Amino acid sequence: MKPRSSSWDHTSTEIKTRAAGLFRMRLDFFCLICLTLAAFCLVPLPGAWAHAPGSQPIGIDARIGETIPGDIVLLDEQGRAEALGAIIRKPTILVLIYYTCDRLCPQMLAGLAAALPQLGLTPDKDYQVITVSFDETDTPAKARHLKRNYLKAIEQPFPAGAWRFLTGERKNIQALCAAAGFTVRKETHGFAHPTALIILSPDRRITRYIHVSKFSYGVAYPITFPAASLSRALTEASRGEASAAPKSWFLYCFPHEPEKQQRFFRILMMVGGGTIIGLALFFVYLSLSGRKPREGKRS
Amino acid sequence: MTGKKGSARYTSFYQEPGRYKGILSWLMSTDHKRIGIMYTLALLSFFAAGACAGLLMRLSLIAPGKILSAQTYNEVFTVHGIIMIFLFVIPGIPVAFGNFFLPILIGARDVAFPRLNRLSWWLYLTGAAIIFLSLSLHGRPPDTGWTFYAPLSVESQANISVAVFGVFVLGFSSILTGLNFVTTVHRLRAPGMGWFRLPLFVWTLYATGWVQMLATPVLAITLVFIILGRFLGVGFFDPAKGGDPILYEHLFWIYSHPAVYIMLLPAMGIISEIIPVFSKERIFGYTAIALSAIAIASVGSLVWGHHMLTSGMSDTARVIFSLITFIVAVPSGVKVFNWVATLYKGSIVIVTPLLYALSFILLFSIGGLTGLIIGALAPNLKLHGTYFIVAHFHYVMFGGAGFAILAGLHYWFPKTTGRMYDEVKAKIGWLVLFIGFNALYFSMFILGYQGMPRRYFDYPPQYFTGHLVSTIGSWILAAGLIIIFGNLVRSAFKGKKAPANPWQGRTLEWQIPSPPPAENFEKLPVIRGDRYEVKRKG
Repeated sequence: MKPRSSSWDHTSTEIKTRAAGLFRMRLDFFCLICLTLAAFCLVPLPGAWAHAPGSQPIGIDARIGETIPGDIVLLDEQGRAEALGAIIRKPTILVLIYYTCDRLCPQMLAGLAAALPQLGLTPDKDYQVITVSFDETDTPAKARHLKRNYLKAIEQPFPAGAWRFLTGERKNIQALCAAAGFTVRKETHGFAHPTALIILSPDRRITRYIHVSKFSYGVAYPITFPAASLSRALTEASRGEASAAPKSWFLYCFPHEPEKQQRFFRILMMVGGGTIIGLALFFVYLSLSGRKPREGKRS
Repeated sequence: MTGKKGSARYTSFYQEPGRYKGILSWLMSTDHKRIGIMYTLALLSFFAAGACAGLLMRLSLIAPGKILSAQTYNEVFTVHGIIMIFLFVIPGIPVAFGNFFLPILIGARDVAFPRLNRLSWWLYLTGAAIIFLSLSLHGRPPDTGWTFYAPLSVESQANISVAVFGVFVLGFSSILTGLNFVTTVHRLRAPGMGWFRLPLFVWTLYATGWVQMLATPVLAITLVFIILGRFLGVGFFDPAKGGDPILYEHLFWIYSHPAVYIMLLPAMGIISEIIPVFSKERIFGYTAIALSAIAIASVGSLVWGHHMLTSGMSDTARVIFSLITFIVAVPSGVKVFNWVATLYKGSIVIVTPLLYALSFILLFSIGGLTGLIIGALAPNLKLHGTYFIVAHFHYVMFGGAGFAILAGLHYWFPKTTGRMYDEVKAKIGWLVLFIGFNALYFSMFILGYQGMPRRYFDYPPQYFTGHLVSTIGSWILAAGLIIIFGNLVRSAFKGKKAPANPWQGRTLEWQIPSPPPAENFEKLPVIRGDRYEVKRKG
């Protein structure tokens, strides 16, 4: 055991002074980082407000007995323009959704695909299905993709012309939604909208709304349409008989991304980024300052 | 315990006179070895408490409703989870063996910040005390499961805030330990101890230290959000107020998946120390094992989403998380292959630490490979809510980290206590534990595959046989634990005196007396040439 030398004492004091200085410097640096981060958090985020959803209410204003204008022009799956007057010439199930939806819309289409073979009616002769996207950015290519998917989901031969997936320009879509009494709202990620099937007679009159009012969790088809009532609705539509407006409530399909969450994520990102940068600096500091083996108290 | 080393007499750290006497000489100590011993004893006490809760759950499951009511069952499985995860297995190896052996293994006299180390220990005790307070306070013990999922944890009438605050305090203990260990490895390596001469256990503690510093703050802030939600109604996780419950799951698993590696990496480190010693072979692929620890720590921080494959994420996110989960299996596989390659053609000595190490390889491989089954998207959808997950989890946590802790306890027992344990009893204990473990948890794989949902206190009659086998397994496992710890406790007082190097180990802890003196080394060792070879200065 070596007795403690005076040079060791000297070095020790020097190290202590240097360490205290370094500590103060690091403390200042730390405070600076905290203040900068806090300042960032207070800056309003333009992006967050720009996407603020509109405040107009959404819902269904039942327009039983009214006629959908025949001059509304929509694009078919191949991108060809066609007027509704030419498309609707038989009892029709009209589905208003948007094609990028990953919430209720695909479940509605799946439920419909499961119900169609059980209707006891001949597709393309007794009825047809028309799906229209109210999102003007949806393209015929997306529509083709969906069509392929849901025709396959029917799991038996189904005439391709009897289920059409249409897209359109904003003014035509708005005219269709207005005529059907559908109010939808653009949100940050998608749309908030009501869910229902609209039954049209061969002369484009609205004869019935079938509301989607139940969503079952944990089953293969969360949304189902009873074949009997769908079939009856189509038969009535073929005779032009309008029913009363439904009294049942309906489900809303909406994306859940509140606008303030964007700001929250931004704060998280900055704090997380700060932590990673802080630790990276710590690593650099440790690596640069190198090894400092210590003698023990007794050495 | 005054021992002899060569010709010079020395005083072991147990006998070293300090400023304080009695219990304070321990609680106020900054000696990394004393802190390590205190952590070990605390950890094992909490493990005993958690195991009792586990046994009670298993007992209840062979006669649902007769022993525990549904509410009590929820409370017992939550308490089992909180104690085992936050008080035992996460702090586990770093605080117990890391504290005791990290400075010795790198040739240092203590950790870089001894007083910070003592603060970590006090914080750990405080956190544990707060958690136990949440069980005994007026009101119900926590009943949400150890994951504290929102919105249940925000709305539950149980003492969630207290328990969550306890975990928050434990988090700080963990961060400070990580910081301390990382600085120690950078700063205090003995002369000549280059990065690629570090023992592999040190490499894993180093990687773990970074994970602790990086991931634990996320848990801390998440838990603060829960407390704010409960007291001030701030709706971070409440959709009605613009929050999102999925956000909680993300934040929670951003910490809690890396936490799996906080538990497992040092466990792998212990196995990497034991296998070369008892196969009398140089470890195969040192660099690959060392770097795979870093790879696991970094890639393992990006896989948290696989806990949420059924929670409602986009398909893109699910596919990516599933893919990274497969990637993180690669470095773990590298380690397993290297261990087996080390054993190949070695002069294997079958002693208890090696038996635990070998069973670690087997059980961890089962845990890891079933992890790939549930990490793949399609099977996960079927298995996620079932006992399959419980089985996988326990094979990794207990079969992995738990068996490594037992391996370490036996391997370093002569060094920490200065006495030898009884080899025959230790082997019997291992065998009983191994049988009990597999009966208890393998039956859960089958139950899960058959569709038994996890967290339920009751079940339809067709699952009875599986539950019965599992519960009988829990009794065998408990018997094994009693034999093992009975043997260790008895040997700590009455065992034969241990020599400095009973296993002919080549790392530094075996070059100093058992138990070590207060500052480990008379003179700091100088490492030259061969990786673990030690020559004294002067």
